[in-house]
Amino acid sequence: MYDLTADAPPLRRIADIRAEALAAIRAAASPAELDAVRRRVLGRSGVLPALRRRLGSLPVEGRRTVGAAPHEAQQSITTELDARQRDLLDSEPALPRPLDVTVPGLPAGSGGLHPVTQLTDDLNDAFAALNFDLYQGPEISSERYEFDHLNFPAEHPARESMDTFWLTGTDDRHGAQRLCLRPHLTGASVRYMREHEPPFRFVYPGRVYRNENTDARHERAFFQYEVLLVDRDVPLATSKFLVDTILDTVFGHPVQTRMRAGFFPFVEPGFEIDMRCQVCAGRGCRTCRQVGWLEVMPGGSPHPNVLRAAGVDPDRWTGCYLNVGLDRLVMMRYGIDDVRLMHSADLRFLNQFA
Amino acid sequence: MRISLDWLSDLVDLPEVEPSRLAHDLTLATVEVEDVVTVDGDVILDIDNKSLTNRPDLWGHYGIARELAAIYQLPLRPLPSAPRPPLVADGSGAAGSGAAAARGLVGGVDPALCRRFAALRFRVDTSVPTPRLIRERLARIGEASVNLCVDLSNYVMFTVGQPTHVYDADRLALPLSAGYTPTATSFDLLNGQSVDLPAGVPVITDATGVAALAGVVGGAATAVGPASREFVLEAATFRAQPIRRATQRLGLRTEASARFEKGLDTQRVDAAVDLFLSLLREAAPDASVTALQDVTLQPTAPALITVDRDFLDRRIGQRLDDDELYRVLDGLGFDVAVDGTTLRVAAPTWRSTGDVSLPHDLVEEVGRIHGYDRLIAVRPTIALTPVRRLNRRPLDRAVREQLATRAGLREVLTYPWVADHLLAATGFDKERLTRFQGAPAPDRDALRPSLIPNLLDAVVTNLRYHPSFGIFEVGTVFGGRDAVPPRHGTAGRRRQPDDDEVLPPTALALGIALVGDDGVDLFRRAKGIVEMLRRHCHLIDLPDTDPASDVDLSDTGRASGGPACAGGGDPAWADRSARLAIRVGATRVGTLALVTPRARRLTGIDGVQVACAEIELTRLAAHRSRENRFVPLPDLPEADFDLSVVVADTVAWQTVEATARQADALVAAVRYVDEYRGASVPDGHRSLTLRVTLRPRHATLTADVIAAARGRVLDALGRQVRAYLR
Repeated sequence: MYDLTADAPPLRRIADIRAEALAAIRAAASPAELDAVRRRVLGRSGVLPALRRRLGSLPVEGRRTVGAAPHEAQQSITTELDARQRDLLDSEPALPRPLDVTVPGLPAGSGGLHPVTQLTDDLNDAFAALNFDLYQGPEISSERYEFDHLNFPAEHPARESMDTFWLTGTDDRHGAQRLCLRPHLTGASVRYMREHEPPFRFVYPGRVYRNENTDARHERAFFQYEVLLVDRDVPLATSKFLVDTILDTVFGHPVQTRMRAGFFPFVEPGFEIDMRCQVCAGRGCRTCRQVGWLEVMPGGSPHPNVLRAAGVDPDRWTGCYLNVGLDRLVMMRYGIDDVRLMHSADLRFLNQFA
Repeated sequence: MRISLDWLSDLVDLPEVEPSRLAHDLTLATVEVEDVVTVDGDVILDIDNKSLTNRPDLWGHYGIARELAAIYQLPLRPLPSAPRPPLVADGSGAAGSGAAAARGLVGGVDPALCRRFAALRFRVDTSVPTPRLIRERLARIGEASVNLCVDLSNYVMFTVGQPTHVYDADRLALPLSAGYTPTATSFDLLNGQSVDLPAGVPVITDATGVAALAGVVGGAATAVGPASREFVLEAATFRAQPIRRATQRLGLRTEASARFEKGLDTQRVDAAVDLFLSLLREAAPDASVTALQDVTLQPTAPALITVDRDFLDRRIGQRLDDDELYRVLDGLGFDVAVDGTTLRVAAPTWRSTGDVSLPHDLVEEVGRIHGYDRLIAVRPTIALTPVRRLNRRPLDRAVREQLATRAGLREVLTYPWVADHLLAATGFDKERLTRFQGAPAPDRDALRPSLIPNLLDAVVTNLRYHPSFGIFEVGTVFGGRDAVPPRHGTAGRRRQPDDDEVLPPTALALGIALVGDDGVDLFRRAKGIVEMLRRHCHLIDLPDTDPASDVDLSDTGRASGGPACAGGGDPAWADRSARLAIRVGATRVGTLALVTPRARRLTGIDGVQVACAEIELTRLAAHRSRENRFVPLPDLPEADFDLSVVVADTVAWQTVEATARQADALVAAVRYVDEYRGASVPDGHRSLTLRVTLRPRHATLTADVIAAARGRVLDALGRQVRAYLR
């Protein structure tokens, strides 16, 4: 309490008022408390103005003794009040009410790319870093490009077993006049080679079509990713490097593979690449039919007849094909159990892929 | 194909490894073993037939045994044989000295069908049982026992891969001839089935008619039965192509035809006959083999390959030891003569029917037996010549990414074929579209001329779970049957023209569908997305949207319905009250519209509005870098004011905006805020609220300057579009 009636000397009383006001200011815990201090000390009926009014009635000598002390006290109290006011405002919370921080975040937008597109883009980027060109062949092609140029002999069983969708009205023709939905991507490689000068290195992703019965593992329309490198000397084992590039891109870590003999008319020699099953880590499961390995990529060196069909001299050039079943890799990447979901356009499925 | 390890053990001493290891090694070097199962104490390898299509030598246990011998560096045992009977007449018709010589076993053989035809006549008591070992081995690979002669014939086929056929000689009118049916006829197969044979089918005939389908299956009339006593074994080398053609025509495939279709060598007939004789002698020592006639028209010649050693090393990627190289080739039956750095290689006849012919084939033989898995991965040497602008992403990718991230749409993929009811709902004439055979359903044999029909189907699918959403697809659309030369691929000089290939027109299209309650909102969002693409994909010649008010255009659009890809006239799915043409400069590349109530009803969309846009991406191109120029930031503050003016419905916003912009030199922008209909707005009118931004040039804007500009804007709107303040 301020002792206004006491006969204490004015200077001491001013010092007491100031000291107690500063203590009260420091103790104020909210702007409201601080405001109360301001009113009590500096308000119209506050202690300091009251003291100054009383000092006005002192004799001249007494006023001279007190001098500028009341004004200095008022100034320092005001400065301290402002500083404390700023501190209190700065430390106020942003929200006036409590917030439950565990409520879910608001959606930032539900857009997204199809998982097949995402993997295609990832692989395109990986091969762009290796300076591979990107090519798109036509989805409708001809027997010439899909079979003749690829060293399938006339009436080779593969022409049937491919179960190709032939276009109505062209199925009784041959070669360039017999048209189909492309059964594989390899025909596009011949188109590219006929358009460019070797050496080549390019990728050509896309959708291909086979007349098959569908189930959880088989589709009529599915995606492939093919790579072709043609140069003077391309040892067989170059493909292992390309395979590593692909699998590392897909899974983000090295994946164990095995390379084995395989036959396709458009390669000589041909091979198959199996990868360790990523579902069971090779211990054997339903996905890999208990063998621990999954066939993912056929490939090989372009057959000399394919190079000839592409206008490339097989005595000067050789190369390496690699063909990837994209759907299967997408399924392995996310653990998808039914390939038919890819074409379902079902947002419950698609919204799962960030 | 099923392979018995017990059977193999007759032919090669199998290494002492787990069957799974053996299967793994065989898979890596030769053929894919799909499964390993134990049957009655034997281990059966189930081999994927697809991995055998190019290897006629592997369609029997002996071929697999040869591979294992090469893989494990083990000796391969020769096949057993037995003395042959005296030969009778050869192909020239000269009589031999055998008992059956007078009648002859083999008559005419068509060289276009058959390279070699051998016939063996023998007599055996059919009550003699098939040896137990043979019966059990056949059973373990899934073959039922029939009788001694048939079982031995099958056993020979599953050992050496050479099919043979046994006839009841007493039911034959010898000799046997190989040729084609001259006219159509019907024929009873030995399994009881009857088939109609057209003319030109390869058959074996006796003097009375067809006795067997050559290389496929025998006939019922000459089949071996319990009463048979005298037999003829046919061991022939039919050419692959006639047999393949016949099986395709007749829809008949057998173990025998599967082998002939791969192309067998003539020398294998010897192995088959010798093994048969040996087995017969063992099973029935009393059997008498009376005659053999062997007509060889065109023996299989070994393929000769000359290859430089350096070629092998470069293609394999490392130099293998000479010893290993020669051991591998020798183990597989290749004869190698070394001449300096050149190898002169003669392939075995069982690999010389099309399988092996090039130096590249030798790379494969050596590489696979050495082990592809043992080759060291080689990084390709990359030339620094740029093959493409790596900083530029293809336009379709930029479009996809902007739609997915900036516009918040979800990418879907739909099939390239489209159902008839969706075509009808969206106004496409199926008769004019490209169609294909073997479609998933009879009403889905047309290739989509537009992405919209299947997108509407996707809308139906998702409406079950989501009341509002936005989806898009980037994919190929297919033109009609009016074929044009292909237009695809990356830019490049076509070194090798291929002018006679004519493909139907295709294009890459973008389709967007937005679904929700408010048609105006959906339409404006779709329009905003299209405009966003122009800016954020850096498109050349901006696909600005403007009103498709041209009546002729919309009429032709409705009439045609195809064959155009996206970008033709107004499509029938586009509602006339809310549609826009999308153009690149003067060229129309697509349509943006609300979907008509009719199209919604026919596709099964109920209770919501759908806004769709389709753009032909093939026609678009992006700037090689960036085209927009920096605009200096204003030094002086700008000022805005809003106006709400009443205008007739016949006056488009575009006109109002242009009028306001040109009203005063200070007007920098005119923005649409909203519109209102109701009290104080007469019928046929709406109240438009627009926000005008003034940009000062030399001096700060004062209240008087702003008021004067506002007056001029209002005056221009009043004079030019009869707008007045609400």
